[in-house]
Amino acid sequence: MSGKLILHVEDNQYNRKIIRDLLSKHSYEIMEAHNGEVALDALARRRPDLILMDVQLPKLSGLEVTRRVRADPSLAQIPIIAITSFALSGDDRLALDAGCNAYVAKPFRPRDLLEMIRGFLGP
Amino acid sequence: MRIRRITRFRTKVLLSIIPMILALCVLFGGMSLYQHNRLLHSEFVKRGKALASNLAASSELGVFSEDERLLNAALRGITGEEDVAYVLIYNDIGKRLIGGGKALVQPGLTSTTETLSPELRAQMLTDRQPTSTIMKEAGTESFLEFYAPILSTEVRLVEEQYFGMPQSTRGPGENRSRVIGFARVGLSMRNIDAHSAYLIKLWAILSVVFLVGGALAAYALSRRITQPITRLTESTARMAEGQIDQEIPVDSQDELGTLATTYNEMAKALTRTLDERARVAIELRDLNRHLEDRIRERTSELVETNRQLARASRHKSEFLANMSHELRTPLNAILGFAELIMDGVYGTVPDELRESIEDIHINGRHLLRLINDVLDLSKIEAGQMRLNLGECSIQSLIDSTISATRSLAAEKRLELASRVETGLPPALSDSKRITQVLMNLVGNAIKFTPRGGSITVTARRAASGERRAASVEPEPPTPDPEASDFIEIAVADTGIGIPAEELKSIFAEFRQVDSSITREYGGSGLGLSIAKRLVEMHEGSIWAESQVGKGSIFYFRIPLRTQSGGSL
Repeated sequence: MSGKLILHVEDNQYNRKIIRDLLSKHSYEIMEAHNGEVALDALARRRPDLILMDVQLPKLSGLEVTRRVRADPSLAQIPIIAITSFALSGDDRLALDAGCNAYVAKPFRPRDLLEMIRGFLGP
Repeated sequence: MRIRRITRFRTKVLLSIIPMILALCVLFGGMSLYQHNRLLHSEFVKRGKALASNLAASSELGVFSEDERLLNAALRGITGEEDVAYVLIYNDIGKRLIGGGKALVQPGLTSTTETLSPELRAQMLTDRQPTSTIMKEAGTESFLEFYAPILSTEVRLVEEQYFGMPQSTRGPGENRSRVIGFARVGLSMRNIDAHSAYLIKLWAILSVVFLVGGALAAYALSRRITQPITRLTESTARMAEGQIDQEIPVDSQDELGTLATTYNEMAKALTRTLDERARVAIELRDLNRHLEDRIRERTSELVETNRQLARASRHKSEFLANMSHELRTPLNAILGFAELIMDGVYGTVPDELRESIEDIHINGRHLLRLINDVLDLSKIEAGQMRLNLGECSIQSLIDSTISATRSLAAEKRLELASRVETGLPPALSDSKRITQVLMNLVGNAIKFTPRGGSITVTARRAASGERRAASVEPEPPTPDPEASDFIEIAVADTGIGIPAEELKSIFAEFRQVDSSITREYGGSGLGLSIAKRLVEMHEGSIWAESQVGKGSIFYFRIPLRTQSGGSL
């Protein structure tokens, strides 16, 4: 169907698998990174159509990766959806301030996330 | 000023004593002087008369015979007297026969050369008595003069004998003598005048001595009075300046001495009292310092304890936050996989598995809510929850709550309605937290209302102090008198209700009316507790009314404020 490339930055393998299973079912191409540095390496290699960014990451935080993406003119236009951990702690605002376009709080319904991705990339 | 008053007292004493002494001196001195002078004079006169009479007697023969030798002899008898100035003898017709005496050689004493004055001669011829005192001035000297008639008896007898003078002209017992001449004696007043002058001088000297002596005595006396008073005054002044330990010398046993003694005793008593007071003050200060030390000690202990507690609390919160994150990550996976299975991502789910997977999903969500609630509560308790204040429409908060819960209500065929007062102003609040409270209250209402019941959410503006009857919570506090108005939101249901004795504790943690309810209705038991904390963070209040079997109404109020009216 769409074949669009989505970069998923997430340190937990099971969560990565859930997104992988969900998105491949809906014909998206997945690129994965388990921390911020790997994510930047991946970005240097391929330009994705959308980034799913876990905020809490080891080594380089998702917020910092977001700021760097926004600072790079070739990547600045890529939509970024933040996946926040603490729904009640203000991470959502931090994510938007860092340059994310939207956020979903863990635990999210896979269905809701799919809706949000379709909102950015089209059906 | 005090010193001057005492000086005035001394002056007063002197002024009253000196005139008294002066009056005494003048009065008594003058009187005795006068008396003395009179006595002197009368003695002088007596002497003068006697001298004149003697002269008259001794010169009788001389006059009779007009023999100068005899007359000179008679004169010599008295011219030797010191104060006799001059002596004169006249015959019966007043002619001067002889004169002598120191004064006669002096020039200017003219009267001595004269004949006897006819008036005096006539007088003495009649009364035949010595007469006195006619003052003669000659230069600077004064004299007192004495006259005496010179009588002769022998001559008369001879005349009768030889010339046969009839005797019938004289009465029986009559003196048969006749005046044959006159003696005149002048006494110098130099001595008596000198004596008088001496007396006056003496009197003057004595007066001055008495005056000075009296003044000195009065001065000494007043000094004896004023000196102790001055000492007392000066000592009192020193005492007033703070030198309490005063002692003044006691040099008499009179009233002033008693006063000084009493004063010394008073000063001693005062000193003792002050010493005592100072001692007590020192003790008090020591006690205070000790107390302060102990308070400081305790305070630092408390501060330390507080710091430890704060650290422990922070650790607890951090632990809970981390823990909830760690719990949520696997839970996220569980829920995610369950949902993917149910959504058919892994193919069609067999009917015999579908219910079990749904159970996994339901319990997973329950566990997630529990974790969230525990995290919220621990954040509130650690003071780490901050309100994100903004002006928001209560109407829209209620609307979004109702639309989010509508499907749940519809499942139980519950009527869900809202009634918001028109013109309700926007409230300064954290919309996310107020929505959380509303979701909790509406969720509870849906949970505890049987099928076919109804739930109504109302909002209105309420004045402070106004309160619905039969409330259980105490009067909502009004921390800011400016914010006298509230927005009051009520969630009413037709549910199972809450027994009166349970109403008090429903806002406490982990309280549900019956623990069996948790099993039947689900829920963490923390929702109301969190709602209460959130409302209180808005400086509002929350309370409930209920009737078992009929339903419950949960109210909460938040103060109506504008952005400029201060933040929370």
